[in-house]
Amino acid sequence: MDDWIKGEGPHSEIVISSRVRLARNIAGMPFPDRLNEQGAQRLVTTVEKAIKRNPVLFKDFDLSILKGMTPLETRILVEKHLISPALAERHDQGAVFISKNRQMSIMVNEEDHIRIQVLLPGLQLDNAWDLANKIDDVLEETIDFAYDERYGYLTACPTNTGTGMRASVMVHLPALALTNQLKRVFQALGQLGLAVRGLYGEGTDIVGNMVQISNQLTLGQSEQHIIKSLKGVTGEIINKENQAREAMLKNSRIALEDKICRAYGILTEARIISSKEFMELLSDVRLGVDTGILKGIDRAVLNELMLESQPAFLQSIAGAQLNDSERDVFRAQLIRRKMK
Amino acid sequence: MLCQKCGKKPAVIHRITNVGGSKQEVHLCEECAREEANTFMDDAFSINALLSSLLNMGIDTPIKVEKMETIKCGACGQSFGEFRTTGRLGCDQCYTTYKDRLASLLKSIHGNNQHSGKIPKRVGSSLRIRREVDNLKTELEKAVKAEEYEKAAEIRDRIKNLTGTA
Repeated sequence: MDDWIKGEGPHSEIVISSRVRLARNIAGMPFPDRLNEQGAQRLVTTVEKAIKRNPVLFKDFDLSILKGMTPLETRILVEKHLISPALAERHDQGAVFISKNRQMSIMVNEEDHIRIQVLLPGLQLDNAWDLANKIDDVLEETIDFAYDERYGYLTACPTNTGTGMRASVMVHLPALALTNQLKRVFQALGQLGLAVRGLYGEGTDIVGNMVQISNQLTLGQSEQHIIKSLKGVTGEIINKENQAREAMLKNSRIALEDKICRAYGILTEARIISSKEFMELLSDVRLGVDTGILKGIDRAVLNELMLESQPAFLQSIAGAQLNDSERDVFRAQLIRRKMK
Repeated sequence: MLCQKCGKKPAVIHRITNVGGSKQEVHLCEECAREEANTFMDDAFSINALLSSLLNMGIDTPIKVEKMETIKCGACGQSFGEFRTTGRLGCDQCYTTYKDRLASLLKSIHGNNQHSGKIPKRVGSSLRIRREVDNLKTELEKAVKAEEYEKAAEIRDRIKNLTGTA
């Protein structure tokens, strides 16, 4: 089981996971968009060699070439947050090295040549940066990265230039949403140069009160500084969410219990359920587990369901291709099986 | 119906939300609706469009812009016009080819155009030492201001050591 699914990390009642990714390019080589097939293959070999030179990484990382995978298999990697949607789109060139514990991955031929990603459960931004930094150190022993004294690491998109780092946390904010405070929180985050996105990053909607918060700026601040400020802001959001939860428990407990128990009722009895409805109800149930209103439900089961109810994962469990309405029926079955 | 926000122009955007069972209706004119939308993250507003608008913000006249479009990077062959449409540079050399334009673009994106993060080891130790000396100098200033002279002397020694080895 992937570690974030266990739901055990620090502050996991609000912070689902912490992620750090570093964008790197090889000096003197066209970026992936302008790289031909041979160039792309050479790049995979170069990264493989760099990993092989380090006994620890060599033992830990396994290579997957996207071209040899079915679209469904690729999609599952995206749903598991092991690769980005952008890499999945580069089916002909893309490759990824994934660590055995599935916390670390090294994507090759994404928007940039190399993207190092570390995903840890709960609030663990420092650890995530530390691990990503170490992988980067190993790679740079053999690979000459495109780097400029003034601009730092050179990336395909100028929005990543500098540290090439995007640090993010996935937070669940049901109480702030129920008390209509999310918009204000988002505005404040925007003013601090932080971006707010949905579950699968750029271009995805916020569903089920799951919010991804990440740094927007990459040039002019050190990695440590970016991590520290994101950590500080996340701490503040945890406080605000906890305050809102306490206030709701104190002032409108019965209404909250009603909402949570109804959600639980629908989830465990529904025969047809869409992904969106599921995510919304799951948010209520998760809040119920976190506040102790619902007892005897393991948070890991909720995280597992969140992953398994995604389209590709669902079809792989079913062992068959399912259309939208078939998926909604199968999803309801899966939820009943797991939650009852 | 008039816009609920400005109360001047006719409302053309009608938004009905249902939060926790309480239905809310908001009626806005186009301008106020846009203003409100802008305060949120708008994904439909692509990064490419944003970059283009930032690039166009420069001091160049349209004629100069046109000339700029056709300049190609000698290393990868991508033109500046292509960068403008895709939002992606072709290779690391593009940073040198379009030096001036990128300097202002990076500044508009990040509010800064001097990297102060990680330095790869192979770039050479001299840059790293220089960076550390800069950081120590700031610390030194702080220490002096706070009248922590012992600490300041310690930092001064460290700077001396570093510049001695550079």
